[in-house]
Amino acid sequence: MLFSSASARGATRAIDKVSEPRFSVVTPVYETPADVLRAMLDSVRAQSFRDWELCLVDDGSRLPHVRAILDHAQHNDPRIQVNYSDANGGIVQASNKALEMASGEFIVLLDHDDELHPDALALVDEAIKEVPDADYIYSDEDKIDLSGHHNDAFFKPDWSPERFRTQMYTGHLSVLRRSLVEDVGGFDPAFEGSQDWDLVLKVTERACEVVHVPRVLYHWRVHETSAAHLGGGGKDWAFEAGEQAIQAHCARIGMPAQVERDPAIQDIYHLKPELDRNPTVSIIIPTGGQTGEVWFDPVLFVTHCVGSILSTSTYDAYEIVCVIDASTDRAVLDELVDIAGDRLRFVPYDRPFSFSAKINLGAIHSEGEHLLMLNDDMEVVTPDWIERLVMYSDHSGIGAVGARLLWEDDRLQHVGVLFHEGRPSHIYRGFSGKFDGYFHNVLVAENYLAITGACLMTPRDVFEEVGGLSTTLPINFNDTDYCFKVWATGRRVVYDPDTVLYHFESSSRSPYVEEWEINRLTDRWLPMSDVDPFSNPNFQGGAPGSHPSSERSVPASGTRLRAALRRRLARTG
Amino acid sequence: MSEPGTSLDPKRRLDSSPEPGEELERRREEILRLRDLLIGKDAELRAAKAHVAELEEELRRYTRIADHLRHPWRLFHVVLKRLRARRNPRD
Repeated sequence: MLFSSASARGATRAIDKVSEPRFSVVTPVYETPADVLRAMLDSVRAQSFRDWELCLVDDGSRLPHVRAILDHAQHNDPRIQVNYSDANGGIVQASNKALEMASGEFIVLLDHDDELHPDALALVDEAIKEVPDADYIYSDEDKIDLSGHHNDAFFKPDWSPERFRTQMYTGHLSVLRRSLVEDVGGFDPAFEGSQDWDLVLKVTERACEVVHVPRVLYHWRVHETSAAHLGGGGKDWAFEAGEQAIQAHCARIGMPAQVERDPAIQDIYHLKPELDRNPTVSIIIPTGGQTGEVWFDPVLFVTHCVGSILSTSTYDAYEIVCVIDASTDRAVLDELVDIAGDRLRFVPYDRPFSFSAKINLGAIHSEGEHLLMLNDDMEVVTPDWIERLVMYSDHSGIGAVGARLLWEDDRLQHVGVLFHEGRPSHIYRGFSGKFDGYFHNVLVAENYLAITGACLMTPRDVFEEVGGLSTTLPINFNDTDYCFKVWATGRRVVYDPDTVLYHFESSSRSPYVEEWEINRLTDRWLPMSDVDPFSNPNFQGGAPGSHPSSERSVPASGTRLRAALRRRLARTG
Repeated sequence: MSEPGTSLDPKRRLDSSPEPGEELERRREEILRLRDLLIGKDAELRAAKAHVAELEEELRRYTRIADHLRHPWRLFHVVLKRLRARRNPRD
């Protein structure tokens, strides 16, 4: 069907308007500088994929060049439609008017001062063909300055619901299935300033598939009045709207949390647990009663650890299960009893060392709804650490949650695990504890394929369903294997940045890994781990800790998509 | 879950080792071991299936290329078709 305006002029046009295009690019316009507006329009017209329409709503601009440029664009391309508002009604109202004009299968969000990569729609179309159930597609992005230089590329992880709850990391380019956008009612004026985030939250709550195209398909222009230029300082009301949007999302999905803004970085948020129930937690600590130094003082690790749990924790419904080597000195047990009293449960262990077997034995002898694996060389920092871990572990869809671990000199020991060519490694291991990561990824919640078992909470039913820790991996990779088993059940693994503990593992420790151990891991899980979805192929070495190979070089997305399909196959058979 | 016989006195629990409790413990450990074995073998099987599918796809691709190389005019036809498709994606 031709638009009526198009049919009247159709004979004079070089390009015919097509019915129900694949993409409707939706762009509210207001007082846009002339060169910037032309660049935006040119970037859409230059798309190598031609099955699109551009729905522009001028939100009452007074600058005369805006109407002239938009009129000219509309006249010369039947795929471009413009609606003019008499008065400035705000971005939500203008965006909703643009949505009403849209007839495409997918909505593409484009700001009036930004640009699309020439292959943006072609690559998104390719991604949708690979994953036909895709309801939300997003890409990597960069910034473009006034002189046209590209910088500050953001290479993103694949879909990470937990990160999206604490940071609007998907940003641009965002493409949403129109039927879902209509189902959720379009842009909500209650969240003006963070209306995009609210919309994507609502759509992804219902989405079948979310797809990430790891290519820079969107260029965010930095100029005096743009959000990219203003960064954290200029639009406080927008960040408040972001907080409210996440809070509303948490209420919809039943996440028992109060949303708080980060005190220093305005575009990231934190979830503070507000539990509506207090399930029992069993903290399982395997120990042989080893001693070591903590801040230059000799300590017995397990008593130091248990002491810190008791003195720091604000949660009440927990027990401590110490799986203790039978050869452990009786004095250690006596000291533990003195510290922990009735909260303590001993389980003797008299077989050859196996971290997995000790944890499994502890789980068998425990009563909690949630199991918290904890190394004995730890010290709790965050008073509500158990509440935080329960907030995640008790939520449907989540099978394991871990913490931010620091060495005693405050450097990072664990903030998540990434895989490169099937081999796991702790990201940012040894970085300063003040390092906030690539686009703040140390400070926001994130999904990972694996987290460390040094501090890991999991629901008991999940632990039993997957057979606990694998005793075929007694020393190394049992935690990694466990996390893969959790993913295989369709549940997510989460890193929580706001649960902090000290881990007194020596920073110079280089655990010897046997070849058979890595082989066992890869034999089971290579389809899921060979291309880590939570890294980005633009990074050399596969992790954000390494340098981008080149900000503008972008590898073929097909490999990534094939890997995603392999992972799905590995999960579902 | 805890054994019926275990008390909250940690010293007593360490010292006592009732035989029925040990048997239950062994059986529960064995259930965990077998569940791990099942999910592990299942994962290995799926990994193998995914690998086979990938190899078969590669084999098909190589076969097509080899076929085209035997008949260069077919290759020319494919290239021409792709060029046309790029020029007009709706064709």
